[in-house]
Amino acid sequence: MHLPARRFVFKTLLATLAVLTLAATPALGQTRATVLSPQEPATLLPHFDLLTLTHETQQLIFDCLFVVDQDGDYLPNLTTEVPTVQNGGISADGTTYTLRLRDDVLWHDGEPFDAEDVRYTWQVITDPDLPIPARGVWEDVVAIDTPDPHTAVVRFEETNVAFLGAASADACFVLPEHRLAGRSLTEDPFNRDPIGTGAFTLQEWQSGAFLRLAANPDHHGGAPALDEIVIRFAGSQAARTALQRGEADLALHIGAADLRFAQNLAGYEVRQAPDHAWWQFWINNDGPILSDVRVRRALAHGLDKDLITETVFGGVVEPLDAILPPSHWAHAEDVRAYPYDVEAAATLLEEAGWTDENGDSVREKDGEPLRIEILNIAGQADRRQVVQIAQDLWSDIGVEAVIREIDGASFPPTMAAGDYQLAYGWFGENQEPVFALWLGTNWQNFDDASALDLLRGVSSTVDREARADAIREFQRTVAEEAAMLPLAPRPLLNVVSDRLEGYRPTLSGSLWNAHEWTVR
Amino acid sequence: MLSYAARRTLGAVPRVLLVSVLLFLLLQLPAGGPADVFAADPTASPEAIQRIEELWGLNRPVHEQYLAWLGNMVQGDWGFSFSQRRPARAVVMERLGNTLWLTGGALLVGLVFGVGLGVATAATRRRAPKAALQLLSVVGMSVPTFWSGTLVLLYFGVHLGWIPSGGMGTIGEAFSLPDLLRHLAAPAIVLGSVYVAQWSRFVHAGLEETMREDYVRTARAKGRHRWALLMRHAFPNTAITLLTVLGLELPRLVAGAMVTEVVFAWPGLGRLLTESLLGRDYPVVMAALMLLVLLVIVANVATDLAYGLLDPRVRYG
Repeated sequence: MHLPARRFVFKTLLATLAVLTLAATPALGQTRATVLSPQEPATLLPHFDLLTLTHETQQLIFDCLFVVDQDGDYLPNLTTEVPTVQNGGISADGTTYTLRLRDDVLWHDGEPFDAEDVRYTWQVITDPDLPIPARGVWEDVVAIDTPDPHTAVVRFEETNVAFLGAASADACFVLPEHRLAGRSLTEDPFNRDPIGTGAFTLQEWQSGAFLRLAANPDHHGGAPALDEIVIRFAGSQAARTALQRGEADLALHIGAADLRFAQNLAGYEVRQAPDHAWWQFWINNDGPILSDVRVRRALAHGLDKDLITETVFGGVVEPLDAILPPSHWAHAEDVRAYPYDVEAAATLLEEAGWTDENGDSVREKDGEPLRIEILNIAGQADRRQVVQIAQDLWSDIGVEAVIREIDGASFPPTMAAGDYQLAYGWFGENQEPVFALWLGTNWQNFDDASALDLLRGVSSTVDREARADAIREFQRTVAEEAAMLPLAPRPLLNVVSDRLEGYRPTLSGSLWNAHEWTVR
Repeated sequence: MLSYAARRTLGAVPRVLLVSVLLFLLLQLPAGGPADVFAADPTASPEAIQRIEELWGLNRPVHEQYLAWLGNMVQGDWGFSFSQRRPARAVVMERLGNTLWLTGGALLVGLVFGVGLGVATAATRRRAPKAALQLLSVVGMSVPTFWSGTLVLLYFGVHLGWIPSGGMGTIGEAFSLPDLLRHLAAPAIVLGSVYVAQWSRFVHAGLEETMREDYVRTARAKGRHRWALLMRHAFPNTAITLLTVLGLELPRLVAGAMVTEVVFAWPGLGRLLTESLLGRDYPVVMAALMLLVLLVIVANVATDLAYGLLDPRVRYG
């Protein structure tokens, strides 16, 4: 090779390197928070996708009428006040809610937000021709009157105590009537290109990779301090790499398998986000073996919950005995507990007629072995660990537990069909509990009529303390009957960078106050 | 040759139909359907889920659902994604392009290094390089990409910081080729390393065998240099069989990149297919699978046509 040619190659190499380096440098002066999410929203159109992580993302773009603060109390958001009976916002019989709306809220396209948007949102959520999976209390609303643009009067036929909860944390995002009315919501490109009233506007959505959102300077809660927020969709491996490189300011909902890794990361802290969900073993109370309360109690005594919370959940949660977690205002502390006690479990099983006659360490009755199937969703390491530990523990009391794993979409119909004995899963309750688990699906086939009647009365009890009393009584009954086997509150774990300031998760989500965040 | 290609493609139509029926039926086998994905959240009422099944036409008999799907498909309507609320074709196509970048890169790595190593080790008479190649290909073929990918990410991504942590481009920047290549390099090398391992052995063995053929011996007797023998006489024959392997590999490259896509957070078709299967988004699943079926057919026809270009003995009639 001649010398000039060699020089040319050298220069080309240098130029290439320079271009590559430049391409890697972010724009100067921009402040950005990067959030990792293990799941990508299917759609950003509110109310069509029930995933918690979709809700988290939508929280940046859309607003709820109210938000929940760190103490679990309601704060006004699109309204000027939280309605109460005292301020006249709620009628004495609990059937009418008068909402005073803010007059300084703008949609991302500059149009003003008003009472028509609230009414339109209700109409969408209850439209029977739309594939909306959960309509909640909105279905009980009989009318929303709009006497003026900044007043919405929500009317129920019967006393309703769940409205504020629903309007602040669940199906609560308000939709733009001026943009969507008269269009087909299932086909409109709004689902990929939404406008809301939230603190951030969607700039870019690269499927399978990330969402990029820019600050909305006209936000009614004040202009965000950050310039952008990026939500990166990263599974366990990709999230670990990004965290190790210090590229993320927040990682949402990490799995139990990543807990130890995250606890050892420098510059990050693992924090539990408020959540009213818990892990439990569903018991099919209707089954041939498990209809006997002594067997159910024996299983409860045979489960070492401390062992599981220590090993699988890294000790970040305490064992749970009630069917509402301690974070919930109506949690009952004084329910019957079943401490880990192999002797007690054995005695109960013997009383129930289950004995090991043939010495194979599995009990029998009338020649039938004590074999119980545990239904589980396949493919999640922490779920499998829990079920396997339970299997081991129950074999110590002479129960042959068999694990059956199926995919997530098959899980609910299998349980609804009663085709299970025990099933491991989590359940979440609302701030205002609706008890869909007991009064709706009732996969556990619990049939104590008086206890269920007590629960039905809750939705029409305006006094919160009286509601709490009834809910606590129900928890005591369930524990007494061992009709459900709670394990522990679900650890909803976020990994938070030292650089991120203002992170204040509540029941409204982890990103609800992102307009207050700063990144050092 | 064109009429041959047309006949081959048309001849595949019954097979495509059969495969589509089978796939459609397979999707009906598991217990829950698309609407049951929502039932995982117990706040979704059974009535609402039943209503969604009606709206999506899932309560109709399977054969009616299939015929409706087929009717739309032949008219170019690939269905509407249940979960993403947009045409399934758009969902699939935006991912296909991403996957083609990755597999194209891997193919290039595989061809350049695989063929290169194969030829180089066939050219030498020394034992050591041949043994090294054998070891390399055994290791290369047996190491799964999720493991090698993780190691590459840990060392070059976390420890040295030379490569990005995933994705296809720097977030917030306009598309640029250098940026894409920077993100592409590591996953393409990891995915391509499997092909380097396979194809280098393949090329090496093919060349060694051809070099023992009579015509090569004749050429050698005429005094031609070993390199010329290898490249002019032996390689074209090996290339034809390599082509067969490539043709068979092409569809697998598109579907099989999934593991690498997960490790490097590459937004490709394989990941979409898995997610859509778990989320029971049947229109997207069917669209992606039919796309793969079409790829298989196109790859087969293209391989046959390429034979004719490489081998003068092949005639189409």
